[in-house]
Amino acid sequence: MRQLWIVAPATLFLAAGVCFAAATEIDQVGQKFSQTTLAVVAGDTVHFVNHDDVTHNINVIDADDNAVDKGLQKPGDTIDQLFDKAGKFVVRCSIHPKMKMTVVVK
Amino acid sequence: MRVCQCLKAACAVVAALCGGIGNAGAVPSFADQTGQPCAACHVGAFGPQLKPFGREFKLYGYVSTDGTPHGPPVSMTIQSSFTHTNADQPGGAAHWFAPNDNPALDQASIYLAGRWAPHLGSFVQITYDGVARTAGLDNTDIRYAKDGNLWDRDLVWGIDVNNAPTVEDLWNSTPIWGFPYNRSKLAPTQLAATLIDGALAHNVVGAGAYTLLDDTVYLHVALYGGLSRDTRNDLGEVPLAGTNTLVGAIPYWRLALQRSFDGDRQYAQIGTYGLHASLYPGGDGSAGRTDSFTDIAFDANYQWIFDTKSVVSDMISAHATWIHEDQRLSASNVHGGANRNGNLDTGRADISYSIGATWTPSVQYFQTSGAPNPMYFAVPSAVPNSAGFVGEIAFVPWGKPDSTWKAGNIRLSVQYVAYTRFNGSTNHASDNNALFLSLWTAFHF
Repeated sequence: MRQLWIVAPATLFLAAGVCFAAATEIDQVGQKFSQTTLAVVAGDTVHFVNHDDVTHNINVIDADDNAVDKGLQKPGDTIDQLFDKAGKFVVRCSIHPKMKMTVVVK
Repeated sequence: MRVCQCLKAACAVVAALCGGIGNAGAVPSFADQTGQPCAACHVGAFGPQLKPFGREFKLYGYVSTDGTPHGPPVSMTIQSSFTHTNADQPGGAAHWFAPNDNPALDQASIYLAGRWAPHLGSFVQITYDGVARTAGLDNTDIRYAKDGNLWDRDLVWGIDVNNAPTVEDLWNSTPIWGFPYNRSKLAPTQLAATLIDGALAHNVVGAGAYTLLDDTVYLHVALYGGLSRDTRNDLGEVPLAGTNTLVGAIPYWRLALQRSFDGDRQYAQIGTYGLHASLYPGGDGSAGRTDSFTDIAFDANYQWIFDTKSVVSDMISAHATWIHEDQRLSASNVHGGANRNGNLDTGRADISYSIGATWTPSVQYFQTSGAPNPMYFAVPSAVPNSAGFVGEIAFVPWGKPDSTWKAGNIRLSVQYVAYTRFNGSTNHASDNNALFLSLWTAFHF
């Protein structure tokens, strides 16, 4: 019975976490992101979907200029990025230098 | 006889094809470095006509990369052709060539083209000219570029070193990268040309700085200086006897405004560029005077990409430029009795329609006119006026995302140049009309 008191709130907490974590889709079309800025909440995931017929790349750069290279993204591929910390991030394609957007995580 | 000529042309074509072994793209090492097909950067899937991403790649210093390891950024191109002119050219179309119907290996080039450091890249071309049978340094552009923000606006800035005014330019309206992108070296060409229209290419070295603010305002300023005769000789320019000697610094400017609209499907640009230069004509400075030239040019570009999601989308691309040259001919006046003042105006406009980045028909109107100057323009009428049309259709089978052969690319073209006026005369102007069949092969080591 004591174990139930511990497990039930934990399960509810985790379930709430799953419910509140949102997913946003950003299209990559015409060598541009479909949005130039995006506001999300820590724990949200952004799906980057390549709708072009050429390869793209996703680099996530934080305010200290630390970059996470998510690798190459062939036409039709999706790259998921979990934003689990608050801050301002720049997302760029290293192949197409003008292809960039800002993600603000609260 | 005609069968023999056709056989020669076929041999030239096959020779160039056989050379095309390796990995290729637009300037193939650029394609290898970015993992993009030629069609991502180039109208018609073959250089040098640039699409928006091609201009972006150059603006950012040739450094964009897909992040995977690549070998040295070394590429090669080979151009071979067959030229027929309306009338024979007595004495031969050039040394070593017949009066007409000439197959030729036009040129073979090696490129050091790509990223050397995170913000440092180059386009360096070394060319063997198969008509002049000389080799030397061709178009060269080395640049360092970065981006950031100014007044909360996007800013790209860079510095570059190059060897020809407009070789660094992003648009195909300016002389070095303008249409036609290759032409016969064995057909007659008009004698009069403004200084900025290629006359300084590879005879100068210059350093400059450029910026693009808010993806709208582009400014480039540079200073050039003439290379010494020894240096030009070392770089492959021969013969030097009788060539001009540049005196002092040559300021060059470039200002452009650009805008994309209609969901980035359409793009327009207007701009101005120019330079001021002084020289000793024929290298003779004994009079203590120089000829001075001020070139002021305007240009415009328009592109319409029907489907921005696809790099092989049909698209329309148009370019135009007008160059006015003011000539102060003090030295030529003393040496040869030329009029002390003169002018020369050149205008060109072309439009192409690229079908699936495979077939690209193009047409251009060109015109040069100027004040008569009997002792300056070495043409029978003393009037430098020429005008005409260029029509071309190019076929590029590869360089697309789904190309089965990723290792190379070729450009086959048929081009016809028709003159309505040639070196001041309308009589027999059409004798200089030329049919030019070309095969252009590109590959990467």
